[in-house]
Amino acid sequence: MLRPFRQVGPTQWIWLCCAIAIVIATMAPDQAQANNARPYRGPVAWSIVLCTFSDSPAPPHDPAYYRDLIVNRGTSGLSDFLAAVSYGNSDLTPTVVKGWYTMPFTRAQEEALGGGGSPTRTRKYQDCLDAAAHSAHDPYTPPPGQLVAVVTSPGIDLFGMIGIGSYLPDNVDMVGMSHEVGHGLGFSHSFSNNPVAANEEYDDPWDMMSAYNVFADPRPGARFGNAGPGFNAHHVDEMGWLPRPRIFTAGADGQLTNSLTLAALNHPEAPGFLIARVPFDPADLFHYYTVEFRKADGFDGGLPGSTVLIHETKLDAAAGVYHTYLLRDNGAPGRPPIQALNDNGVTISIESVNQAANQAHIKIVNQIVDRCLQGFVWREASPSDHVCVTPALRAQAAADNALAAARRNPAGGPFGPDTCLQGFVWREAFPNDHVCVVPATRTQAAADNQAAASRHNPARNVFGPNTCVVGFVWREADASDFVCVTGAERSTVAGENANPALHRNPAGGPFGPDTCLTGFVWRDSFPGDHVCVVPPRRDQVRADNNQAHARLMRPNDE
Amino acid sequence: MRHPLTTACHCFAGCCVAVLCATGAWAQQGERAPLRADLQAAAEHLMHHPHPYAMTEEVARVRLEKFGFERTQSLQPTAHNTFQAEVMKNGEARRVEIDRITGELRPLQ
Repeated sequence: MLRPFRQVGPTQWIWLCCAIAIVIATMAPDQAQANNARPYRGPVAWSIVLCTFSDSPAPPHDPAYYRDLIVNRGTSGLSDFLAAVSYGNSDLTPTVVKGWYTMPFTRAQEEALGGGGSPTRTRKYQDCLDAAAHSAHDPYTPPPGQLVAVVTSPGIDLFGMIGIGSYLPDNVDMVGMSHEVGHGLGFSHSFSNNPVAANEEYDDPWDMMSAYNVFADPRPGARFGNAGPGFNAHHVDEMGWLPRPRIFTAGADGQLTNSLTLAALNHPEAPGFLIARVPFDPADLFHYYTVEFRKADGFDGGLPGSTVLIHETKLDAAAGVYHTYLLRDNGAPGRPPIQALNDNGVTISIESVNQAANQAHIKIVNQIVDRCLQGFVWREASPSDHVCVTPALRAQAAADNALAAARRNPAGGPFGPDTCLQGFVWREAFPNDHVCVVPATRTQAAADNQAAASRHNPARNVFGPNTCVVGFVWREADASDFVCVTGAERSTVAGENANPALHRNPAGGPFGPDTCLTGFVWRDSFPGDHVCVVPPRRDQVRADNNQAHARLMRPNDE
Repeated sequence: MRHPLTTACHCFAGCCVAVLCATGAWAQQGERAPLRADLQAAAEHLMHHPHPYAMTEEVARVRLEKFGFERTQSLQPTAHNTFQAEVMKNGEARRVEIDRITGELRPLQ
């Protein structure tokens, strides 16, 4: 029998509160969602823990400074940066700043743990977290799985750990913080095609993930020091922040040649595509070029000028992940980004740049539209026969061609000089194909012709970094919803979207004009999704959101 | 016989005392717990992937140009993680130093 409520004593209350706190902490999936959880939309919660050494002078900044630098909107700080590069899909507003905590170690003791090359380097990070956890006045332990940035005063080291957090000096600027947040989102470094140091890491100064070797905006006098540049288009694409109508995949529509307009990646208000993917490798549909236009203003204000960038996204076999490689003209002074490409059956050229309109106009010719899916080859029954068949059937066609004369009746017959010997028929792989083959081969050729379209043009199957595993499709609750769900679930969502006001209270209510009728709740498939559904539907959407990363074909990217 | 909740409360209180004792000991003596396994693995990773914080000559040159300097080709690395350069601004020759991490610009005599 339960005790009456009023008989629970103080000790029991403490026990109960602790238990509830533990349960709540384990029920907070959002805390760690941004850690390798792409596609990701919503605010990102980090813990920022400030620490001094036992012999540190007074820190130069109070916690409020770091809240403005990292958490608060409208300060031109990190939260504004993330909101800008994500097109409003994310920011850092749930992040907490704790400290200053004093470690029971001197600066010299901590420095003795070493920097790059030391196996005890990360001990410095744990020492700060231990100081926070053991604090007598304000103990703090970050929620499990949450990314944590440790800031020390004075600064003695700087490093980031993917999926864990970072260790930063007290004078860290926007560049350092942005780069580490990028790691927290799951991005690894960016590379170039530098032949001197093969595929040189940190050699894409136009991308934040090459920091500190980046074209940051010097912003003299700025409160938070240097800032920018943004992330490259592939990184933004990975997070699912590019709306589907702003993504162009060259060849997906079967067109060999395309002229298109790119909007500057940092000017989404301009009309045009924000990224062009140019696939060329039938054996790897994630291996492609990307084309983007960057305008040298805003957080990209430190770029040497506005420019079109072409990257190659490909598998780093040693690391087992895909990286972006900026294609630079390594033979030219200053190694500028290439402005034209003619390789792997792809031609990319820049037709014009309109600075005032924040647009670039480019032309792409992509031979992949005439290539076969992996596992198939051109039949080549004639030099122009590009019907895709298995390699064995191509060999069969070549053998039949070689035997063509021997299978023809030298005396001719009712079909003229091309009349076949008894037991053979015209192959008819293409009009006027009078090579004589056994009837089964003609039947096979007809079947291959029938299947030709389904085996052609691998670009049709290129869907980028958020491609779903077989059996799942994008939910498409809105233009940026890349969560993978069953086909039935997508249909259900489409049905709900068809009449979004259906279960809304026409009289409004406590939640404004989007207030739902009694018994209905917001669907919440993404922040701001106010379609009203019954609660089990919202549960389904949440469950799918939690499975989003696991349903990606390439989950371990970056 | 004691109520199970009472027993649990006593256990919990005992744990709290132990934690408080450990906290005090840690704070006073600075003894370290074993390094977390994920941090150990991160240290190994960092050993093989040292982070070159410093900006390259290319980035430093663009930075100087953004500050309005000309003739930025004269950049020379120093032993103190800076570049020095003989540059021009407003028709005047100047010697400057640029920090390769913070990007801070300092005039030189």
